Amino acid sequence: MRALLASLIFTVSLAVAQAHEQRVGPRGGALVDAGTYHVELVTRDKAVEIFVSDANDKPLAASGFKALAILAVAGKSVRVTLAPSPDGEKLVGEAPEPLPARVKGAVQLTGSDGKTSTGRIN
Amino acid sequence: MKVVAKSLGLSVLLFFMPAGQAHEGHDHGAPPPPVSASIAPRFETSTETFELVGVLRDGKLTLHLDRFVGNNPVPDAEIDLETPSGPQKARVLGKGRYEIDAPFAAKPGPHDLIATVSVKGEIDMLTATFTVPPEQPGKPKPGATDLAQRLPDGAVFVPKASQRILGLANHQLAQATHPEVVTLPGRIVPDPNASGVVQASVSGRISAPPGGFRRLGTRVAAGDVLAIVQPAISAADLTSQAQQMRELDQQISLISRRLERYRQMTAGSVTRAQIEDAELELTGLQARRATVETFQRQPEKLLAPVDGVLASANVVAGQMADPNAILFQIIDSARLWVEALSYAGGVAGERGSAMLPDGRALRLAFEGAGLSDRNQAVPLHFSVQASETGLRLGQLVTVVMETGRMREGLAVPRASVIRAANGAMLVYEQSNPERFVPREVRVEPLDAERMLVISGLEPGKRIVTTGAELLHQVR
Repeated sequence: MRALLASLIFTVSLAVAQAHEQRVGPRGGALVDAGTYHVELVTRDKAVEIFVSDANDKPLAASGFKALAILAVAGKSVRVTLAPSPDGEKLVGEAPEPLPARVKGAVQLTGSDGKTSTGRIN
Repeated sequence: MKVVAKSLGLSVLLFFMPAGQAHEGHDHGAPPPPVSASIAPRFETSTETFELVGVLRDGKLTLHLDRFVGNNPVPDAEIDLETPSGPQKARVLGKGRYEIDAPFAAKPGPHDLIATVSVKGEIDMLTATFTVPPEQPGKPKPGATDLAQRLPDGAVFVPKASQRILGLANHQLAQATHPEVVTLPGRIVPDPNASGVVQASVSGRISAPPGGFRRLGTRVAAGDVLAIVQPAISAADLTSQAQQMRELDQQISLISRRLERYRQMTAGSVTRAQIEDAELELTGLQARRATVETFQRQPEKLLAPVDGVLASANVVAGQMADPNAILFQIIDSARLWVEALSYAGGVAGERGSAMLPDGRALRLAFEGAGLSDRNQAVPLHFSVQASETGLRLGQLVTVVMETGRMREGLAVPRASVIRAANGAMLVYEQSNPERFVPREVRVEPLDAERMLVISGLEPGKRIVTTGAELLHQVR
């Protein structure tokens, strides 16, 4: 009973924290919902990587997808196009300037059927 | 330790349980259904900073950019729109409106858009899905303008263009601690130290001072002559004056005859002292006669007792003044008081505000309370802090006085609370950029400008402030 009560309190506090903060994916990047997909955006210096998974967080192959990231850096926007990496694990792109680890912006994912879905990163 | 481990395990379970439902949350939420076929195709999106509405008409997409809190248009922004046909920069139309050509919208179906909005170094990205309805031959085409309309669920659809005309503004609710207040009926009274009345001390005929009577509303200084009263002598006074004169005349003639006789008599029969007495008596009588004859009272000058403005004047030349009648009233419009009646008895607090019937509010400072009841209420006096123009003596106000206790709740401006036809109190929540939902609330007065929502609303909601009454009229 005590365990249940404690866990409830803990869960509530987690849920409250979650409501206001950007979710973080398994690789430490921002995790957003884009259409029926979950997208994790990882920025490392100039490199921008996107990992795609389905609604149940099961990783999907990046081949067949295209992506566009519009990111806010130092008061202006940076547009980065991403293409699948050779191993098909992720989508990669390069920004014209180094990016911070946490970045605000939006991601647009284009599937092999041409359907697009967008997600916003806080 | 075991308990902690168990609780953690359960937490993980409970925490991930809602994950499956995340797709019903706002991130994956579908945009509100189209209002009606007569409304141009549109998309809307918002963040905690901005609100963007796009309206498609004649192949052009008009963008309306507003602040999320306040609903004010953002006129000097740069908008880059990522469209299916590539990035486009929006042209500025002014007053928070922007425009782009939208050839991609000729194809029906959903189009994903990303708008990058930058305003003076502030940058934000908004994502939207713009669904263009398929062309249907039988259906009516959208008109040249979108009209505000009430939706079947009771919500009101107001296009951004109409929102500008109605001047709709919103206010985001926040939980806060507010001082508790009581409301009392009150009226504007003059400050006794900065006001005065002018009364005549004698009954008489009023005449204008040099320069004429002052007009109402003119500024007068203490000591200014406002009118002159010529004292009137009553018939009884005149009769007694005439009687006195005759009496004196009679006595004067008697004494002068006697004096003449004394002088004609030989020396020895009348003493020198007798002649001198008679002479003194005659001089005295003649002096009294002269005083009575020339007796005429001085006119009374009516002077302004204080500096101020002539608030009322009840005089015309030739009018007879009554000694007790108030002829002029002078007030200092910058120093007015409010007299409130407290039926609860006692003084609750030191600070308050007063609300005028036209919605203006006055800041008040407590001056004093009476100890004797008037109409079963205690009179309380407040001084008006900020001088407000257009205040009249006797004007009725609602006094809102702080009790000193604090109350927790959501404060809304008074203008945002409206009474529905069935008597219920309503506020309009801006649920979407162009959608307003009536919400039934229970409110209590907080102060002259605000109400406290007791139930019916949650913090974070945006409530229409200015224009709520106009919004309620939309059918």
